[in-house]
Amino acid sequence: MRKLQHNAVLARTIRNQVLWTRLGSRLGLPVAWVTSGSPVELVLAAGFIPFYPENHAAICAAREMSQGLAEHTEGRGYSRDLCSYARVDLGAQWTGRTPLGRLVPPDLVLVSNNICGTVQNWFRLTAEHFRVPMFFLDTPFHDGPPTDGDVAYVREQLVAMAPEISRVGWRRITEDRLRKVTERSREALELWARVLETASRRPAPFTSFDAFVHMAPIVSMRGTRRCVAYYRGLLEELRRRADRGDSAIPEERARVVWDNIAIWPAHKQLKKLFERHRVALVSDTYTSAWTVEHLDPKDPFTGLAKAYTDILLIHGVAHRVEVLTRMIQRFGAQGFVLHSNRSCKRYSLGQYGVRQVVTARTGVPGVVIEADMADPRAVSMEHLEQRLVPFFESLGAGT
Amino acid sequence: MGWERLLEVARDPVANIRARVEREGRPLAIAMSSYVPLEVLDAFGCSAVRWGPVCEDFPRADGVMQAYACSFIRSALEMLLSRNLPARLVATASGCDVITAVPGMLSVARPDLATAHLRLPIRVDGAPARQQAVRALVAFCEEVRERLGAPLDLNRLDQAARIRQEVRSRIAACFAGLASGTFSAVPAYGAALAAQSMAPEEWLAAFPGASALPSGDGVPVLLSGETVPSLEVIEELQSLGLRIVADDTNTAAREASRRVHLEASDLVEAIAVSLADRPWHSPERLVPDRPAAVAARAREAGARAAILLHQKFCDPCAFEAPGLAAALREVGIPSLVLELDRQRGLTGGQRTRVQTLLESLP
Ligand code: SF4
Ligand code: SF4
Repeated sequence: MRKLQHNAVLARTIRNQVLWTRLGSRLGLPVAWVTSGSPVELVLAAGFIPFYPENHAAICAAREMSQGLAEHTEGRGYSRDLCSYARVDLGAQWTGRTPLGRLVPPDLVLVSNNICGTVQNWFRLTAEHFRVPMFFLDTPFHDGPPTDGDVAYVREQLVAMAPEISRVGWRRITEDRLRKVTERSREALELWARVLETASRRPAPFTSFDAFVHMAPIVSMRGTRRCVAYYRGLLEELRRRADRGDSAIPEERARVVWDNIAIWPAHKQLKKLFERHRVALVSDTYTSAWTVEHLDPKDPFTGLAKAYTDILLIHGVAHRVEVLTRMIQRFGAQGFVLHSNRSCKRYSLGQYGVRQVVTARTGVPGVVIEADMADPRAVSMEHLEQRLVPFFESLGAGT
Repeated sequence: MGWERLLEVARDPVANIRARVEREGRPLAIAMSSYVPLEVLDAFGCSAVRWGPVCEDFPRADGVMQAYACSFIRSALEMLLSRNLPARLVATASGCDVITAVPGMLSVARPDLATAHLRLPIRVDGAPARQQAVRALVAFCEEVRERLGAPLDLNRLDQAARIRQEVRSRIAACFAGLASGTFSAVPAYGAALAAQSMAPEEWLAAFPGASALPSGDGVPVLLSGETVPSLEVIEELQSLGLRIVADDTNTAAREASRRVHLEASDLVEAIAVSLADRPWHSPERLVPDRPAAVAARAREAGARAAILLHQKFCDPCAFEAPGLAAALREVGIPSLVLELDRQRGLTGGQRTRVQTLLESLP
């Protein structure tokens, strides 16, 4: 079980990204705070440096800073039942405390509700705090495929906001620029999909525990050349590992897939728990939440409208069932784990039904674990072990 | 008849819905959101009701939905799973992350039940949002038609839109009367709660008028929140020495504020626009100046305090609460959040907090 060499590249890439954001802002480049599901291609085309508060909240959680920051937000009257990413990031904004040393303030915020209803409130507060404009892309939730009307609505908004964003940026968004950025996004997303696909090899050279951290560039740097180069390198390494038969898990005995965001406060312990039981977490719905098929450099606005009305969390239960079923079959999983994440209602509500239908369709059992992605007060390692160990044993995996 | 009937329905909406379905013999359509226009469901030949009541125990709902969803939705699920009501169609509209999960959950837990989802815009500013509202309502009608196998009757729609508007106008008049003291809260909320489940014709026949029920004494307050879970809550609040003079709940003034341009050439379009242009939106829509507008309304009505009646786990309310409290404070109105979970009335602790608030007023 050899460590990924690309872990060091990731650390360097993130460090450089932080430095670049700081430097760029000092040099007068505008900064846009964006949600993970918003069309970052627009702000990139206008010359902004994007910053992802969701990513930032995950980093705070991984560095054990999330509780204090969340408590600060709660102290201002915001309920503990709200999304912990929002509570953590708002806490960082309001206190100035961050593991990144310093937060670079935004010149605008760009939000899309294609992931949840939380972000419109969270980013409104951010926009108010920094006194900057908020651009909101309203994307209708749907259980089936998006209708032509939905796509038209989203496209209209994108076209309308482009000149406004250009005004705050340092260059105009032109179709040509948008095309270039979209092409890079598409390329990075394709590479990322291939990276994730390597876990279908036996033994898996890479697991979702790796994917949870290596997804950072696809979230925060898609649309850039650096992002493409990063995933090209990672893919090469994983292919070499797979060809050599290097396994991410010693003596892989079972394979499972995961639904929902990682549990950052217990990330390392969970990874160890899976390793101890020789269970490879081969795929998940979180790191593969974007689709590339719609991004169309020839008609970038329509392509963006389609792509951003077709990401995982804009869909309901039926879609999740499809995704998990495909994943289980593609990756040869013997089980699936549903993280019932009390912070994220959009992701979690409906999982009981998902478990039932996926098991009926695939014959593969699933287990629901209760936790939270960033609030350590809602994560109990004891509960996780109590749920997961018997589940692993039932799959024929054990210490 | 009269108030007696309206209050009776308000106190036991489920019994009334059951009796109504039996009497009317039409498919029961339950709207889970105030953004689902009941007149459209009427025009599909349904007995259309809006879900409102909250129960205290959800053994079946707990099996299909996590405990960190609001009691309002879990109560509705409980009722649907227990088959306590002969529902044929459940209609939802875009809004919070809980309501959007409902059709998917039902597709597994009650596959025999038809669902339809209205993809209304969350933004409410300008032409694109209105256009999307129109497209969404047209698609919704198509979905309902497919699910029920019945066409939208345009004559009936015209009638239903008029009569539903009449009901909303009268409810709005009751609430307008709260501020002037010509009307009191229990009948006003009784009227609003009863309208959720009664046939509009029956409601109009029973409604005795929006005057001559003067309110008693008490500290004037604003009541804000998504859903008023029961008439008991209002009675309890009044018994603590307050007098509701302004309302900002989905159960009452917000929903009642919607107006359809009844003379429009395309009524479906006019209804869609009325949803996007509702004067009093809920916090799950993107209405940046909502807190200031609510505070202004409270001041105008002479409120001296405000009660924010929230469902636990309701994200839109929880996000809005600090900003709304600040906006109210700015106009000199202190407020109190009461979070309701699995309860139709107030807890002892909540009653004490209300009393403390009232006693602390200058
Ligand atoms: S974790 Fe869920 S609720 Fe929070 S911002 Fe992400 S999608 Fe929204
Ligand atoms: S808006 Fe609040 S009360 Fe209404 S359904 Fe959503 S979570 Fe429940």
